[in-house]
Amino acid sequence: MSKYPIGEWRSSAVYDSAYEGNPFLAAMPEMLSHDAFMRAIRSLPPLPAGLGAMPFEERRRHLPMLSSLFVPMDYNYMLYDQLFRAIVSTYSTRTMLEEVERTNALFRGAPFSSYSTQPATGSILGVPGVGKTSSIRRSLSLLPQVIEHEQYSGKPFFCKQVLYLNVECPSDCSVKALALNIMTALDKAVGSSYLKQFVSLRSAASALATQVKILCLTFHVGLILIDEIQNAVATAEKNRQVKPLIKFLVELTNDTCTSVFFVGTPIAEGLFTSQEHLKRRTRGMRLLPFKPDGAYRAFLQAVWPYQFTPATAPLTEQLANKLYDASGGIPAYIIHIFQETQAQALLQGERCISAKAMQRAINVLAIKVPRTYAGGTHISDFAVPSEAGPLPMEDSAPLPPVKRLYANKRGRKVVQRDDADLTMGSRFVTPLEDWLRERGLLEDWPC
Amino acid sequence: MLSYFPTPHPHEWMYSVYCRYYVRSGQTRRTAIIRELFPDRPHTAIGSLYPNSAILQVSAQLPNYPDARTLMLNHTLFLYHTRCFPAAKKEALITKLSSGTKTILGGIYRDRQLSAPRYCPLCVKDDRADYGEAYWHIEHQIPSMEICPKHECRLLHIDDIDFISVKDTFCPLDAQNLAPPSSYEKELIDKWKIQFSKVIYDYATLPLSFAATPGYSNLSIALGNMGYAMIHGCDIYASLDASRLYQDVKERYGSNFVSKIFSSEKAVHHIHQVCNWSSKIPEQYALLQCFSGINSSTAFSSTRLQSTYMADEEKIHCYQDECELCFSEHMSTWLNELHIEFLKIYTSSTDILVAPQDFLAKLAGLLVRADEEYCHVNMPEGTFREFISKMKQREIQAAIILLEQLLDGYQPEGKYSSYPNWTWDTGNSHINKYFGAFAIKQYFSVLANQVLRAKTFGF
Repeated sequence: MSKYPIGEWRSSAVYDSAYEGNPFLAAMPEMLSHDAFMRAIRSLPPLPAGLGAMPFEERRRHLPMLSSLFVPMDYNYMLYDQLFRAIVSTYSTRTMLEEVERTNALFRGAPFSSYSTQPATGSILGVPGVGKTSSIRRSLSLLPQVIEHEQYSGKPFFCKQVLYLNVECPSDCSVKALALNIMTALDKAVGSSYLKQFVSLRSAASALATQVKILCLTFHVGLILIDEIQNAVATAEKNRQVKPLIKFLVELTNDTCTSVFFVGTPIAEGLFTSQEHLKRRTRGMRLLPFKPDGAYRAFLQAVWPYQFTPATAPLTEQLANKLYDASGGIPAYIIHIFQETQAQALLQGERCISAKAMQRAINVLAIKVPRTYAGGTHISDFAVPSEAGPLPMEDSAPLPPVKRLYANKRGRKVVQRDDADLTMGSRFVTPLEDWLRERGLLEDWPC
Repeated sequence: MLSYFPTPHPHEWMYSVYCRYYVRSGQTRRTAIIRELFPDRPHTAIGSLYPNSAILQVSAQLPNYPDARTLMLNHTLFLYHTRCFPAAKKEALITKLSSGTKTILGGIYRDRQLSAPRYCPLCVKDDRADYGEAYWHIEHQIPSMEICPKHECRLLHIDDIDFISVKDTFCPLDAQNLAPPSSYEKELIDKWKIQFSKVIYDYATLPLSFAATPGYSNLSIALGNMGYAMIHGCDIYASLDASRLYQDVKERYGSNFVSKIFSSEKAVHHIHQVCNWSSKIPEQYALLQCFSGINSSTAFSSTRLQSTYMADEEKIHCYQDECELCFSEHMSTWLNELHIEFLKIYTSSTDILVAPQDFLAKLAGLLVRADEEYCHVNMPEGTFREFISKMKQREIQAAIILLEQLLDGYQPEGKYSSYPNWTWDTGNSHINKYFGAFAIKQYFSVLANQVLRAKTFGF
């Protein structure tokens, strides 16, 4: 029996006796086990009733259902675990007393010195479509966003604990816009109207920044997620506006002990690594698409039954490989192409999807995926043991070999060239001049 | 509905709680906070020391929070100002205030007001250590409390913050530029001043049930036991030699200090008021309590103190012999008998409650009879006439009833003589039910008061 009903964004506090003296930590929901998490975030709805008798038009109408599919993977659980720990670290780092002291120091505009360690900060970067935002949203949806406190240890304790706030990095990268975005998120969470009040005041950015910090403490915000952080990069390149924003976020973390996570595409990595202090605070997952392996196939197996064509096409090597080649292993593209393939098949009056229909879909969608990535971990490579049993230790008996289902090698075959072929020269370690001279290909002209 | 509200700290002034709400809101504009806390009331008196409707408005916006009653009791000066009211009266008052049927705490003495709110530099240090922030204490705002009862140091105030500014602006104590506690040098303060502050603190913090005890006053008894009692055998509020007591109090605490609490002209009257719980000034009770040496729990205890003065027969004689009253033997006997007999009358008899219709005619007759009957008890001629001529209509009625009972009911064959085991009625003599007892009290109060006695009885 879970402490708070899953899916409810606002709950009344239930305290664990284990964390006496820290109501915010005591009120935290339990961390779900791997299997429970997978069950909770999975979204594999049943196919619409009477699908068999539906005309093609109506079948096409149901195709957007594919967008609601969510196949849980191990990396989702790792992400959930990281975010959960970030929230816990906020409440572990700052005591109630310290929270009050910090609020008053901010109000006075005085510096606050503390020996407490910093809360968790980091970033989650991934190629577009890999499923960062949806994974984060689904993971956070398992926690109540707001926990309402009324009484603790027999004493009145009326406040709201906001476990997380999800905000988008403003496109202009201004501190004021980000502060207002945080207020909007807070208003949405607790039902306040700070945005209205502050907008009408036309406060300066610095004043707003202070007020946001105070509000983060007042509402005991556990984690702030800044999505689309790559926006900052574009602005940074244009008008060097990013520094104040990053400074504000670093201050927010330091002054309020609130965990902050950045979410975005790998473009932001350059910005993060540009400064050492920022680099330290922005380490985290770098998500790459599926490799054409078992995890990819398992994903396809989960979505493959969602065919709205009159007949169901089996998952063949050809289709799987074609789909991989076109999507680059990016889950969003896989679903997109799979959906469009069905649309194409239905439009053409075909009874089931085929390689031809898929090709048409690929052409229609004009998806171009990058073939190489700077660095990161493929979402196929995350592994968390399920409750059925732990993963075998490295030194235990080796597992039987599993056939790796890689796609066909792409590109031209290597052409056999003559040893004196000039293109071969570039492959040698020795300088090209020496190499040419050895082969008598170089003619010296007197000066 | 508010999204949050700070939990009041122990003995925190309600204004301070509003200030902390202001700090936590992140807002800089006070009007926005006023609107949030008190919708539709832009001119709410947030800096009030007394229960007001602002508290009702805030508590109505909070779920399962300390209700308005708790906030009014613990975070305003309600308990202090009503400390010497009977418990039933206090209960009725707080019920009305917390339910909104009454909006202002009336009937209390508010003449002396502080000009600026005060704080204790050492409380600031303690509060910052315990709660992470300093806050305004409600008890420090009592005008006569100049010393912090906890740290025994002088209370301070902040320049630019006065009671006018706190009426409608938020001045959180923690946000003020306070001198660091380390820089504060503790001055040597008189012990009695510390004791007085502690008593005042008790008055502000003891539970509501510690209240006036109609029928007796332990403070009065304690003072009587110190030798200030004047009439032995008196079983109601001890009658004290207020003049002598006032002189002694002045001698101990200094004229300046005492005259702030008891005005010189009416000091004797005020002391009598304290002894019968009719004074509305808690400082007066506190000062006499300090002088008496009893603690606050005893002063407001439902257990009556033993009057050592009355129990010691020898002392009575000694006192009577030595005291300046010098009652004649007849007078003493008569007063004793009067007292003993009246102990019996007012508990059972109901017919004494009705004043005669033709009271003026009756009075004239009674005065003649009284003079005739009591001429032998060494009373100057016209004593009763003089006595009654000083009284107002209600007192005259009371005197008539008293004398009627004396003359008619207490003859050897009188109707009251046969009533067994009568006891003195200690109820509130100002209400009609105990009108007879009131008459006796008036009579005795004249006898006990040197000035009045001289005027009416000629001795």
